[in-house]
Order: sequence, then structure tokens, then C-alpha cells
Amino acid sequence: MVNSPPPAPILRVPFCQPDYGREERAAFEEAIAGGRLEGGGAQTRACETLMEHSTGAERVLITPSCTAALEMMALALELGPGDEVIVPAFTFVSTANAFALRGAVPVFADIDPLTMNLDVEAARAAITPKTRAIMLVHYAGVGCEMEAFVDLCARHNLVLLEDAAQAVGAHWNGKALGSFGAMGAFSFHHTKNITCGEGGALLVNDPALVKPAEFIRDKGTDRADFLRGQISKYEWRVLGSSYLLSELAAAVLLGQFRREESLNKARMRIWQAYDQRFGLINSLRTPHIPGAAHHNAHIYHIRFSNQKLRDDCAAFMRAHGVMAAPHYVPLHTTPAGRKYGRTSGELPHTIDAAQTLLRLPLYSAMSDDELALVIDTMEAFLHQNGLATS
Amino acid sequence: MDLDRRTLALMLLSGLLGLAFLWLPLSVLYYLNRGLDVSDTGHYYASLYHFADIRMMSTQFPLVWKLIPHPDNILVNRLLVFVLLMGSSAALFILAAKAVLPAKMLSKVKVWLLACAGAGAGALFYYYWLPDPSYNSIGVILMALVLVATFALTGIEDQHSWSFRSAALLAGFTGLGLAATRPITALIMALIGAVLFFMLARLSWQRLAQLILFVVLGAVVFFVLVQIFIEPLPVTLERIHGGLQKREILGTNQLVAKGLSLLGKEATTVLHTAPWALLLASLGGAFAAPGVADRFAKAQWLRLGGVGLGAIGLIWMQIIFWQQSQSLVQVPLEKLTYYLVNLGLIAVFCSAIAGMLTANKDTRILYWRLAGVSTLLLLATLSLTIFGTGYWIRKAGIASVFVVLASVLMALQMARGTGYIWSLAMMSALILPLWATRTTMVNHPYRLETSLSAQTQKTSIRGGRSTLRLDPLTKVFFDRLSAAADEMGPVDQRPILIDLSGRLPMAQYHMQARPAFTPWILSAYKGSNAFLAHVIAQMSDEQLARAWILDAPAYKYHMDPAPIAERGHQLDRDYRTVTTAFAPYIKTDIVLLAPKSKGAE
Repeated sequence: MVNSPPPAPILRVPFCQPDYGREERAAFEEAIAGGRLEGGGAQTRACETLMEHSTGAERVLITPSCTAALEMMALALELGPGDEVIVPAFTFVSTANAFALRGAVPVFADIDPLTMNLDVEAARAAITPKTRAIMLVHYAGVGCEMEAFVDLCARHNLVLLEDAAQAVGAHWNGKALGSFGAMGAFSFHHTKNITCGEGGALLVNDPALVKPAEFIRDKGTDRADFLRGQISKYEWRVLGSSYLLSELAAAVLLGQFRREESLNKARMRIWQAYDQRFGLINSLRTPHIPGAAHHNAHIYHIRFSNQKLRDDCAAFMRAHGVMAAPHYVPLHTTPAGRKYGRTSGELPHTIDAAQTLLRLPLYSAMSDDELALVIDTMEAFLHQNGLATS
Repeated sequence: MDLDRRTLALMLLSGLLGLAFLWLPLSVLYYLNRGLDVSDTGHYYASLYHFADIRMMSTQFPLVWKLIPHPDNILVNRLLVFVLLMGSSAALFILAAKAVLPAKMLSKVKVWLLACAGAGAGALFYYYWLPDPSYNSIGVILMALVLVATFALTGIEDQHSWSFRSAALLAGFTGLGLAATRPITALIMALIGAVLFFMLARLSWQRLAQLILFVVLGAVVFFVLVQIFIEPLPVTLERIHGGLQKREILGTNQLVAKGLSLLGKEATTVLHTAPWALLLASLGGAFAAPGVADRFAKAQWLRLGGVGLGAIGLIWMQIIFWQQSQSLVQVPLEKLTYYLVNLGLIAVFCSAIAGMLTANKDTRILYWRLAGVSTLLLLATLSLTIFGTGYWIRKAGIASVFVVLASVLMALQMARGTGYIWSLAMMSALILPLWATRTTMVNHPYRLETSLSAQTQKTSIRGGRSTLRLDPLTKVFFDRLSAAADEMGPVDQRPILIDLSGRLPMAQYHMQARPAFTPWILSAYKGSNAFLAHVIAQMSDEQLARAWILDAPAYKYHMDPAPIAERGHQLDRDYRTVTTAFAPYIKTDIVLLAPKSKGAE
């Protein structure tokens, strides 16, 4: 008799689920009716205008992804071989890859164990004469220690950059994340609070970088000036590529922006429900929100005391139809990270976060029943393992 | 008071129907501070509050509106329109019913129902143009007031009484106001008013002489007030001349001919919307009408058959209408036009057939009157439709008030004997689409990108004169223009703003810049570039040298700046960019340019 594999659990609560509604459909249809779906059109400009308004950035350029926006940063700063950029090791691959592509070296530094953002002292220790920039990542939409980093960059004459992929709508001391550094990058990927499937944005806060960034996005040409009627013909000016998002995706994004407030509000309700239940349990580490941070409820994560508990919990949740997920593999431990990057000192907090962190499902359209199922399942696991005492 | 159950039920139903109508105007108030259209409405406000600087304008509506003291504030303006529109519409409904229907029919409940239906019909018009009915409403208010005066005059026996004289004065006053606003419409309304008067009033030469005297006096009062408080006649004539030139150059003179041709097509379409339902409702309604079946044998059965057929016709028409709609709350406005006009036609046909069939002389006269008044109300509607600014836009918005009145009058007449069921069916047939229209328009306001609920951002307009709630994109647009306006210098010394996009007259009003002798240099017309050249030619060297320019180079209707260049001012050489902004309405970036040499001065 052949043993058949156990039936796969029915997924009742996915990890994330985009919430597309009437606004998105209307904008999508309008884009189709407009007949021009190439990038840089009306829908794109509308998204950019809304972001410029909400972040106070000098110029926002909508891009096909956050990865593209990060690559544009590297191009705009003309980084190349011999240059170093400090990045947290606990981040997505694109943060480092963008600089490695230009021949610059990403230098991996450790994170703050509370926020999982780049640690100021670790970054300071990683600075060398080759360092050109510090790239911050606002993990889970919670801001880094911005005053400290602004001061650090000023003292060492470094360019401050922000990977705000998870931070749309989040602030630090009332100022939008992504608007502190010379440039900031946002993501509108499937998993994000605001999404169009694939999409991103480059915030240009340094006025001197606006033109170069516009050139880079449009194949290295000054076509944007041409479209504004400022020049009679456009030409190749710098190294660039095609970093324009299709109007179809931009239309969906515009619909999402129009609902940003309600989408984030819905996420916040779920985030708070999790935090009310798990925030006071001694055996768990839950998100730490500094007083200056206004976060956007992008991720609710729980950290266990060890990797086994985390993995057991993820398996238990999955078995009960709930998708909970760990996060990054530390970049300095990856093959490409070792090949193209450099590690600054030991990174114990990065390793710990990678081994113990579990993200709970969080999306704006989550129903009360789904929320209750996640909480009940998690509680059942905690009880089973004697972790439920607060 | 001794009330039987049927009367009580009818009173209750009428009260509820009245409340359902009344909900429409009340919910307008909720949205009064939301949204702002930058094109037509910009034209309206620029015309009103920069009137003295304007020398080319094809309608002189500010002469009327400026006689009413009010601040330069959009919200106050909207409130004023709201009050006058609802008030004149409600008064029209009551007075028309008093003039046409027998006095004993108009119980307090029916007067209440009439007032509510009148306010509701006024609100329906408002909804079509949400968030701001602007100058279209002035024409409708004036037409309603002319009719109010006319219906009032027909009911006042004593031609020497002050009420008769006041009504005649009102007719003359509003009539001349309408002539300033919509000359051809005013002419047609004068004819309609005269026919109504002759049809409904007891005539004598003395009465007629009194009427003419006080109508003329009313017109004289309007004229004198304009001379004293607004401007002397030569200035108005100069502006009218400029307006005619503008139409000529733009090529919009053909609009009347085009409108007439379109009307022919539309009339065919209206009749083809639901011809069998129209026939059935009209015939059935006629047999159900009080006093019609009495002359035939088995009158009771005939009347009941009429009620049944009429109700089926109305329901059928409703089904056809809802089938053409996306949902119960999402109606295509063009279809609603046809539907409403069909209801008006039912009123006309039904009363005409009833007039032909009835044996009693008084009743026959009553039905002929109803048929005549309904026909004239439809004609009044058409007069504004054809000669209005936008013959192709939401004609039902213009049609609503008068067509609804025609239907309500007939419905009220039916509310006697067994015809009350048919009457209620007709009222319900009216109210459901009105409600659906409200929802449709709140979700898709005129020339706005997003629903009124999405208009959430407090935005300061025209240096803080008004504060409205707009959608975030439009707010950014206005905020950027506000910041740029500060660079223009003191308000009383601001330069002319030339809008090469031809679609954003609100920019000039918002920035408190001076208009280029016309409130709107319209793009996208055959003669747009020629008109721009004409406008530039009117400007002195000093005015042109100081002028700011709003351009939208990537906009498909953007106008050629050649006339400016021909006067020695190159856009790329002699101007600096003050700001750029994304203009949601035209969906492209605009660039605001100021002359380099002397700045904003």
C-alpha cells in the first residue's frame, strides 16, 4: 500500500491580498478610454502629484518598481567602482543589488534589535573614505532614527538615501518618510499597502537631482522637458533606461491613492487588534514604535525566542489555513552578498531577526472572521507551547 | 375633522411622497461645499467678479446676478442659487396648479405636495450640474419667475390691485433680466407667457393695458437699477458687440442651427424610446381620468380598464428605463432626459385625449387647459435647451423643472375618483428616477474626476475668499496657483493672465489676475487660434508685456502662442517658469510663465 501524502491545508487566510475596488476600475477604464497607455501619461502624473503633495518632495517619478527607483538612485549619484554604500543586512535584495549593478560595493551593517532598522552606531562604524552614501530602510513602515542619520551624513559629507518601500503614508516627527534624504524609493508591489501589482516611485528631494532623475527615467533623454514645451527636440543626455510605468498600472495605482486613507485605516484596525492581543505577552517580541514614528501598519511581526519556535508556529498556522511568513535572508550570508558586498563587523541582531521573526497576515480587506481565525490560531499555538502569559 | 380611511391613507401617502421629493433639495445642502469645476464654473465666476474688465461676452447674466448684493464667495453663491432655484420652482408649482386646476382640488396636503415636488424638481436641476449649477441656473430661475408672474397674473381678477401690479412688475423685471441672460429664450418665454395669459385669464382691454403698463415698468426698473448700480448702457452694448464678434470668430454662431437640427433628431429619439408604453399610458390615463368614462356605458369598467392600461404603460416605461441603466442607482442621464420628456408627453397626450372624450364642458375646458399648459411647459424647456450654452450636455438638467411640473399637474388632476391609483403611479414614476439621478450625480459630478464623497481636502480659493473641500489632486493644483499668485503682486495691480490651454478659466479667477477682456479664451473650437489672436490684438503693449501666461504644451487643444510671439514676446526666451502643476481636468501639466524682464511688477 502506498502512503498518500497528507492533504494540503486549505488556505483560509492568505498572507496578503490587494484590495481593488470601484475607484481602480474606473481609473483603469478611463485609461483605456484615453487610448494612450505608454508611461508618463495623465494617470502617472496624477499619482506623482498626489505623492508630491503628501510627501512634500521636490519631484516624484513613478517607476515600474521600487527596484527600478533604487537603480535610478545609483545612476543619479553616478556611483561606480570604488564607491561604497552602507545598507542594512536585513533588507530585500534590491536595496543592495541596485548599487552592485553600478560596480559600487554595498556594505552590510547591523540593525537595531527593537525596530530592525539600520543601527546608527553600526552605520557609523561602517563608514570608510570610500563611503558615498547611507541607505536607510524603514522596516515595516516604522521610521529610522532620522535626526541621528541626517546628522551623521552631514558630518561625514555622505548622501542620505531612503528605501521607503514599505513606508507609504508613514512619517517621522510629522515628516513623510522618503522625504528626508536626497532621494527616497517606494514600492507598490502586490504585498504593499498601496499596490498596482508591480510599481514604485522615486522621490527626489534634492532639487539638483530632479533633472538627472527625469533624464534617467526616460532612456537618458530630456524628453520630459520636450513634453513640457521647454525645448523643441529631445536628445540623449545621460546614461538611463526605460523606467516608466504603464498607464494601465498607474491607473490602478491612482485608484489606490484615492483610497489611501481608508486602506491604511483598515490595516491599522487589524494591526491594533494584533497588538492588543499579543503586544503584552512577555515571551514574544512585538513591533516597537518609537515616539517620533507614525507608522502605516504595513507589517505586524512577532519574534520568538528561537528559530524552532518560529518555524513551528509558521507550520502550525499553515496547517490551520493561516499564512504567516518569516522575512529576509540576511544579505551578507547570501552568495551574491558575499561576492558583491562587504560586511561591517558582526551582525548578531540581523541574524536573530532572520531566525525568529514571523509576520502575521495583514491586508485591508481582511474580514472579522479572518482576523478572529488568525488570532485564535496564534493563541492556540501559544497555549500549546506555554507562551500565552502576559 | 371626519376622515375616512381612504382619505387618511391618501394624505399619508401624499405626505410621504412630499418628503421623498423634499429629500432631494435637503441633500444638496450637504454637498454644497464640495468640489469645483475649473472650466464652465471658472467662466461663470470670472465673468461675475471681473465683469468690469470684460468686453467680449455673449451672455450678460452678471447684470442680473450683481443686482443681488452678495460677497465674492463661491459657497454664498451656491447657497443663493439654491434658495432661488428651490423657491422659484416651488412657487411655480403651486401657482401653476392654482391657475390650471379647480380651486377646490387644492387641499393643504396637495399644496404641500406641490411645494415639495417643486423644490425637488429644482434640486434635480441642481444635481445635474453638481457641484455648481453656475450660470445655467440663472436662466432657469428667471424663466421660473416669469412663469410664476404669469400664472399669478391669470388668477388675480382685480387688475388695479397691488398684487396684480406686482406680478406684472415681476414679469417685466425678470423678463428683461432673461433677455440679458438668454435673449432668444426670453423672446420665446414672452410668447409663452402671452399665450398662457390669454388662455387662462379673463380678458379685457383695461386689464391688458394695465398688464402691459406694469410689465414695461418692471423692465424699466430693471434697466434703471442696472444703470445705477452696475454700468451704463454703452458699456453693455460694447460688451454685447464684443460677444457677437467672439461667437463669429470662434464659429459658435452655428450652435443655434446645430441645436435645432439636433433637436429634430432628439425628438425622434424621444418618441422612439418607448412608443407603445407612451401610447398605452396616454390612452389608459385618459380613460382613467375623472369625468371621461362617465359618458360611456359600463363606465366603472372602462375607468378601471383605463387605470390598468395606464399603470401598465407607466411600469413598462420604467422597465425600459431601468433596463438602459447600469443599476438602480446608476442611470445614464441622456436616457433620463428621454424618460422625463416622455412623462411630459404623457401629460400632454393624456389631457388632450381626455379633453376630446369628456362630455362635460367644464371638464373638457380643464383638460384642454392642462394640455395647453403642459405643451407650453415643454416648449419652455426646449427654448432653453436649444439656445443654452450646451445643447449637447445633459439636456434633462434644463428640462427637469418644467417637465416635472407638467407631469405633476396631470397627476394631481388624476388624483380624483378611481384615478388616484394612476396618479400615485405617475408620481412614483417621477420620483424613482429623480432619486437615482441624485446618486448618479453625487458619484459622477459634472466635470470632476472623483465623487463628491472624495472631495475631502479643505482648499482656499481666491486668496481665502472661499474655502471648499476638493479632491487631493485638485487641491494641489489650486495650492500651486495660490503660491504663484502671491508673486503677482498686490491684487489691484495684478496683470492679465492669458490661458493658452483654453480650458482653465478658473485659474484667472482663483489667482485674482485680470481677464484678457473675455472671461474665457476657449480652445478646441475651429476659430480658437483666431480668437486668441483677436484677444492679443486688443491688448496694449504695456498690458501684453506684463501679462502672465498659463500654458499646457502637451495638451491636445493647447493654443498656438504665435500671436504673442508676433508682438515680440517669445515664450522660451522672455518668460520664466513660476510653477508647474498637474491640472486634473485636462489631465496634463500646466506651466505658469511670468515675463522675465519686469517680473510680476
